[in-house]
Amino acid sequence: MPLSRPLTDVLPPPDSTVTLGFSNPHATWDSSFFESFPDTAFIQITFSGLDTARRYDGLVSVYGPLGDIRGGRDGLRVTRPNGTVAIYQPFAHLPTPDTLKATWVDSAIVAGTALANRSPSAGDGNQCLLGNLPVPCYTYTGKQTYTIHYIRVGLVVSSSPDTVSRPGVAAVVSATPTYRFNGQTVPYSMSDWRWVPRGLVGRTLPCPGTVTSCWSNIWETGTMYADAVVNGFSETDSTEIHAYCPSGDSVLDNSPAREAILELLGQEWRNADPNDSVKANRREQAGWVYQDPTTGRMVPWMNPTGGTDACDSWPGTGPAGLPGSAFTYFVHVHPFGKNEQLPSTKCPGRENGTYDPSPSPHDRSFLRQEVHDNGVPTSAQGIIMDKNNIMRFPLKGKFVPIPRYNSAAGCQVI
Amino acid sequence: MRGRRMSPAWRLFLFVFSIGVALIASPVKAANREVASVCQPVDTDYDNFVDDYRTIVSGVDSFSIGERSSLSLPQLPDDSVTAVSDSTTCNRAAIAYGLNLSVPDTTTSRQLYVVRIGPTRYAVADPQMNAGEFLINMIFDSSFTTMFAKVAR
Repeated sequence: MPLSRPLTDVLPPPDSTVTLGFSNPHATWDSSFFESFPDTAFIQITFSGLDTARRYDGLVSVYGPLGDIRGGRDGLRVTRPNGTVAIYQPFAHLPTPDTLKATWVDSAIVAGTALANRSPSAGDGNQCLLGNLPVPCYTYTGKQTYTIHYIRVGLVVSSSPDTVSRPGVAAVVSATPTYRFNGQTVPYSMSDWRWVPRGLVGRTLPCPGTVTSCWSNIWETGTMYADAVVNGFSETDSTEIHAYCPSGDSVLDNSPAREAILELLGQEWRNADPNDSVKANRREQAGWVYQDPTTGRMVPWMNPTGGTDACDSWPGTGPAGLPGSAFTYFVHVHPFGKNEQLPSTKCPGRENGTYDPSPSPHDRSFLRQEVHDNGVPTSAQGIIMDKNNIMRFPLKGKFVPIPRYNSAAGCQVI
Repeated sequence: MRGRRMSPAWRLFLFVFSIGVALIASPVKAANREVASVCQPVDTDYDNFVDDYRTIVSGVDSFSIGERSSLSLPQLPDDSVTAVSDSTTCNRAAIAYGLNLSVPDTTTSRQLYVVRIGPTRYAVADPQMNAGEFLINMIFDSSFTTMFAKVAR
């Protein structure tokens, strides 16, 4: 983690107003320990309090960092080979009109120890010199304040490609800081990689150890997560990688809503805590797939407050303003596997039992009521997922079981 | 001998004996008691309940095969799975169902889903006997004497 931030230090005021002049170039030499950067750091330096009408290169500067010094864009110069972080004067060697700001802000990648000081000068008080070139002089009074922030950069995880042509094909996964600074990489180190299959079941392996990039065979759709420390901040990012696996159900596979259905099932499943050994902690989740009236796209929508109980859920009414005719699939999950004992405390009713995969009569009647009362089309269908199967059921008629693992194709549908 | 009076001890024995007989006989009496159990009216919900068993019974996929195995159901064509609407069968189903509840109860009147699955099986559920959204289903033989499975679905 970064040191306490922001780091602030103050150069105390000089005894009186000082004008660095040609005859007294070293009269106000002051220095103050500022901070050490044992590791490379990407910082923002704010310097304020300079009460001056003139400027001179090196009047106030942060000396240091002795290690890796790169960058510097505006305001403070940090590109000096001796490690000086100084006020940046684009035309310091020219006697240009004075446009000095009272506050300077700049960023740099630094390492080592930084000192702040008022530097010596050269000149006669009216005319200062940079080398042999005459430049305007500074005067200053009061204190000058330096503040340093560690810059939060963030992490981005990417995959190429983001959809593999078939399960098992490799993709290149990498994690880097969100941006580079002046062509340089902001310091970071990887902590961990995790792969979360969309339906929590799969065989894809995450990148190993603390590598920043790897080839990974993608066996099922899921999300690759990376944890890293970027410039001292703990960061996490992820990318979803798709691997198409046919379900074997032609209705589902040919539906324009297929991806939205699977995405919603995955979202609900992960929110249902289906592997919690305390079964009473599991929560059904429910929602809808609807067709966006504007774009025509099929959109998954999970009711954020729909997970009421281990054996009950409420899909809600969907996003506000949608007509009932937009809703095409009522989608929810039963967070149990065949023959699992239902938790009596969270599956309220008059009798306990073991779970058997099927749409419940309540699922059936709910869809029917939505059609009858809320204008949901009669073509709407119900989709349920439990630990082993997806079940698709129409308004009336037999349900269709779809195993989550397609043994014929050898891949995980979800 | 006629008119012989019983001794107090004998009367006490008969009293205790009669109480015992009454207690022993009461469950039998309850079990045989006429309750007003009937079949659910055949409607869309009932049809869907039947269709869900048709999926299992007629399916040739691994899901259906597994379900038939665990529920002890035969493989049959769809038209062998039908909703029962005669009250005699539903009454018998209600008694069998009630006897197999965690707390046996054959006195409560029920309105049941009863599905005849070929000549050898019945699936029975009471909409009032639930675990969350699931109904407690029981699978019986044709005489309602053997329960093969009891599940929440």
